[in-house]
Amino acid sequence: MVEFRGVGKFYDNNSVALKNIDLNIRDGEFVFIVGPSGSGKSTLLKLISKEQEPTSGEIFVSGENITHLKKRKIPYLRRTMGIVFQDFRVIEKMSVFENVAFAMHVVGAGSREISRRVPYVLNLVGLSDKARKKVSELSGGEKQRVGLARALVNNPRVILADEPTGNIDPAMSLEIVELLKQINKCGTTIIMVTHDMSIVKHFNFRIVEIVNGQIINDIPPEVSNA
Amino acid sequence: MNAHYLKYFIKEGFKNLWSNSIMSAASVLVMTCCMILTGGAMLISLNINKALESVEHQNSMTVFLKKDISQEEVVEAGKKIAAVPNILKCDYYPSDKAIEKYKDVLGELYEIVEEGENPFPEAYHITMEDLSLYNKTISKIKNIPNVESVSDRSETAKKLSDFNRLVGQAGIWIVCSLGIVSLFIISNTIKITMHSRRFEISIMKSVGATNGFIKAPFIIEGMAIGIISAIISTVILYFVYNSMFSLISGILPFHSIAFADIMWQVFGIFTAAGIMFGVVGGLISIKRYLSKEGGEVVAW
Repeated sequence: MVEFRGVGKFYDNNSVALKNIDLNIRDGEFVFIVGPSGSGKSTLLKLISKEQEPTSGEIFVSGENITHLKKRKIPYLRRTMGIVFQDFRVIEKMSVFENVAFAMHVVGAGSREISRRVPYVLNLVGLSDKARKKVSELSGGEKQRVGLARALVNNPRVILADEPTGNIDPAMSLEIVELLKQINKCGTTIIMVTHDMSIVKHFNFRIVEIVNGQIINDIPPEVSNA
Repeated sequence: MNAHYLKYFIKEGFKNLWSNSIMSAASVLVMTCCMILTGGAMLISLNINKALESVEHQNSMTVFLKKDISQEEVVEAGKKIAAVPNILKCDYYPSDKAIEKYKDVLGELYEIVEEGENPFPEAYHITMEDLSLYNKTISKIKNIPNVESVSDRSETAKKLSDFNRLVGQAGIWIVCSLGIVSLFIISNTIKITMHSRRFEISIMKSVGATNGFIKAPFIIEGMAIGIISAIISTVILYFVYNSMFSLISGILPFHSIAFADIMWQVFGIFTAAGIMFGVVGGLISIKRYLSKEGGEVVAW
């Protein structure tokens, strides 16, 4: 699904974000990317979503080399992905339904399709009864569910979650990851960046640990929680 | 582009216009000023052209004879003028008749003049058959003995042409300078709207919106500014022009152009220019924005 071959990322001020990363994430996998702040975890996700360009190496998504993907093709790559942010990135003045529908509008879905798909996804994340509520009236956990619904609504092949539990309480955090687990069971690849080891230990998924821009541990699921 | 997209873009474009109402109003104001001044210059120019046409089509003029010539010499000169090829009509216009014509204008001076010497010379009113032979005919008349001068309309035409050129040049400068100001204001208005909606733009980009999709509502916003300005300018120009010309039309020596006759052309030109300026102004800021901060999924 996602493959890094000798990928390096250096910034203009010569700081190193990633060094010679080799990583292969298979279709349908759930992977935790862990490591301290500034270790390069988020950069890894930004390279997958083509928000940043690697300085060296090659990146493949669904078998396609995206290292030098043309700018005009980037939106179409992103439509195969769902992105979940730490700060939810939901539009407060819109309702829950509108927030999710917004992502479908962007890719040109018709109103009939939107009115069929959005309730289905809201049901999946447990927000059916709050569809008409303004997002500003929701709790942090609920807002993240809206973010998750938005990431899911266009049926992505992979979900990139950057510290999705960073701004919510521990109980709600477990619920969010539980939801991601359910989504993963349906075949969607999940790449979740976190530094919350209590969550990581709670689930039995592959763990990739990055420190100072290098992978220092790649623990498969069968031993990750042993 | 399907109907769903178009509906969405128009809705979002007008939402942008409304959410940034003060800057939008400033853009409309500047663009309206630009259009009114341009339209004003255009109307003046059209009227001058009409006046020129009217002058050029007047094929009758006056031949003035030298003063202090005998009545025989006046008759002789008249015969020679009438014999010039291209002269259709040649009517004697005595100096007494000329001074009579200016009686009202001269007022008290008329009585003084009447008692003394008549300042007007003897003259002939002539009509040419073919105006294209104007210069040739005039030079032949000027060569006739005792002819002093011919009332030369080419001088009037030249002055009108010069004035028309001046109006045209001033119009170009007005359009250029105010056009640049309009572009600047529109691009800043749209820049501010984009900045205020940067959060939504970042979400759009994260879910796979193309640059075209992000740009479209802002281009619609620019177009809307242009169209609103065109409507306001046409209405203002209609009332100003009509009220001005109803005042001075009586003293103009030609029929001025009726605004109703050219209203749709004026509106069409204004709308086309407004849309062009709106789109160009919008594109300048959108391109800059998307190639800088908007290029990234902000603050991820």
